[in-house]
Amino acid sequence: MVRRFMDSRILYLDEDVLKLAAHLKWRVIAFTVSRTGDLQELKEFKEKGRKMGLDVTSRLDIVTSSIGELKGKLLSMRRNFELIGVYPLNIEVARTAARDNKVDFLVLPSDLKLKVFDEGVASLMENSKVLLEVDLVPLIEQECSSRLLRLYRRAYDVAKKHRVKVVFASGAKAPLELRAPRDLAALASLITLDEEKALNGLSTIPLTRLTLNRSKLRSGFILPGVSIAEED
Amino acid sequence: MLRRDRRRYLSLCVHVSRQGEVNLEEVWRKVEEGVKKLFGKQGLSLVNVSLVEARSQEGRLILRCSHRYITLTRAAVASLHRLGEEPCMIHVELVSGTLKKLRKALKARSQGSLGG
Repeated sequence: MVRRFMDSRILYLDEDVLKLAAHLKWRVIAFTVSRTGDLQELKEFKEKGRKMGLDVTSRLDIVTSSIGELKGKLLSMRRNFELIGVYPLNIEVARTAARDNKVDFLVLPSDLKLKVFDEGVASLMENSKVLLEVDLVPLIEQECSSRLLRLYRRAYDVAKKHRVKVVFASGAKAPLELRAPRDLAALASLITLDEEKALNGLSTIPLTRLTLNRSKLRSGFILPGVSIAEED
Repeated sequence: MLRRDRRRYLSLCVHVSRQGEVNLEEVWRKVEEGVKKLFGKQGLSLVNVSLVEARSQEGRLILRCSHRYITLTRAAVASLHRLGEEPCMIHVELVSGTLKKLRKALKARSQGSLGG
């Protein structure tokens, strides 16, 4: 079966990005916004993407150092977006996000000084099924620096120990920062040291979460696999 | 008897921000440097990457590498982000076991894009 690949974090979207993503054979891309105002723009891109055979999903990224702001945004915006990611600026926010099942992705910061992912956070994520997301553009920009690779590999090992699933994404802020799915998987395999796991982190793991979230957003959803059947 | 090492042929597509021809010799040098930088001299010898063809008008490059280490070649290609001072994106477009099949697939692809 042909793998369907998903780039779960693209920070900039225009027609060039859409065309390039379709050319690179991505099937699903998540356009990441930081406020609800961008939702109208996203609807237009969804339509354009559909014509190119690309599924464009909506994702909100909450970048914060305040627990109150995180909780408030999660409560008010969860139902407006198909995916929600948290970019924690301190460990307290990371812990709160890790235990909240309204969060889909906890983004691992590439800043070496920001220590927001440890055994405690991983253990909380294991229970809430929050996924750890690793952006690969910083790795490309820093020309695969050994320090960043070590940070990513350590985080991956901690996640693996606590059975936390890891997702890889580009985190592209410009069209030329996109990469082909299998090229990105090859880069991710420098972290996982296993090609199959890297491929899963770009396909099955994020796609399963997206399918679950879409089913939750449909009316009549009760539990995964249980929904109210419509009366004729 | 020692078996001959199997190879893979890769077609690379180069995207840059400006219009016009791309210096594919530079791209090739960068790919080779990238493999060496990421995996060292031993890695470079194992990957056994070499340039087969440079199609400047199409902005395509055909490389050959060992079939065992194709992931390393892909990783090196993905890690390239600049040609000189200019941002660029290079991706593996097609992979094939023989040069003949790769050329055929590239031809079919270009005809398809002309037709569609």
